[in-house]
Amino acid sequence: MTENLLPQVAAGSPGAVESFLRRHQNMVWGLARRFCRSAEDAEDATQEIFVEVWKSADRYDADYGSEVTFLMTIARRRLIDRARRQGRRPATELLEDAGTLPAAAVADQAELQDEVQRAQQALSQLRPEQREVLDLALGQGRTHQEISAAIGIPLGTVKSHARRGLMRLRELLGVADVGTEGLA
Amino acid sequence: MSGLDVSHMEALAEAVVFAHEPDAPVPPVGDRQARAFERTAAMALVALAPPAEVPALLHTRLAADALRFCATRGDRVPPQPSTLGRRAAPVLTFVFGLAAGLVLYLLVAGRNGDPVPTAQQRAALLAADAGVVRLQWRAGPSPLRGSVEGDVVWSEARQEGYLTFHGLPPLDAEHRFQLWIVDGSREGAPVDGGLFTIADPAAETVVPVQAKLPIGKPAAFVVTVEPKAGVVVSKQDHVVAIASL
Repeated sequence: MTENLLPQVAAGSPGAVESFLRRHQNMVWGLARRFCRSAEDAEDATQEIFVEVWKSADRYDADYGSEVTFLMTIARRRLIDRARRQGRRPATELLEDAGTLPAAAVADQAELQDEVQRAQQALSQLRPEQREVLDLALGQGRTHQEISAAIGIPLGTVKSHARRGLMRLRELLGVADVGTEGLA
Repeated sequence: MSGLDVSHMEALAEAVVFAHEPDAPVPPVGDRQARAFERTAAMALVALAPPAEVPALLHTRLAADALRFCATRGDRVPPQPSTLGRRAAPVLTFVFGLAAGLVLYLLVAGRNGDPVPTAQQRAALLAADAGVVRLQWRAGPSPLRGSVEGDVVWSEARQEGYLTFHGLPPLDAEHRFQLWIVDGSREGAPVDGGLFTIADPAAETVVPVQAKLPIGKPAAFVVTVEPKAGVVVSKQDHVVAIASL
């Protein structure tokens, strides 16, 4: 099993911090690059996300979820904060940079691969339209108006797919109520 | 679940999915169900966002931030009980005597044009500036670290410092050690502190710091292994020693 590095990160261990960075930086960068309006914005967001992870590592509670769930929760919150601060953006700027390179596998990603598979399996059980809406909203930060225009369905239907898709996904992933401790 | 519960859950789920929209309602903070949806979204992101190769310069920025964090949170050696109270007078007399001797020696040596050994320059700095910061090396994660020990002394007032090493293995002819100074008062990559080699790991080696820029607030000193000409920005693939405040 892959070692959970967050307790050592919280203690400021340079080796753990470096390993954590190498283990997860490509995933966070991939997300930020899809979510942000430009490469510069994605770089700033990635930097902000990891700084927040370092500062929050001592609040990690294994009951909340895995290391990568903790990281992605922080990543998503930071990206949401930035998007809300910056206001809505034009859809034309949401296209992915063709120069973005896919990342090579990192050696100690066995647990991460398990989590990816589990999430992929759950997503594959959603209705295709629910999956598409969640991908565009969660994974790419598109607004419901942009999604409506992109896939040609009414706004109300976009929202309906989004909420029913997330509720179904929660069931499939077995996410119970989450306490208020840990990552506030 | 009642109809009311279902519509409440649907509203929460929708708020979480579109939380990035500036005009959308913010999911209620502290609500257990909202947090469960938030966690679901985070788990989904692992599959929805394919990893992409981080640009080298961004990695350097991330690594510099990480080192800054370690410098503030790093392993701290508990303060040792001071013995100064019991033996202050003889110790101070000895220290002042040593300092005076060193200053005299350096003046004479300088006039004669002889190079002053680096170890003595270090000792003179320690004697002359009461504000000198002294930090112990901690081994870095690279296997090239050997059994490194020693310290860094740095005078902010004089912008002068020395590194002392013991147990750092020599490198091949194609590589050099390079010092980096993480400056808390400066954004961006750490400041280049100069290249150096180690001849004998069993002997104590003292190296002068050659900071390429003024250092405002040193947070950490980091030694990496680089190609022999050095690099402008380190990828920090081989960090062998770290000393942090």
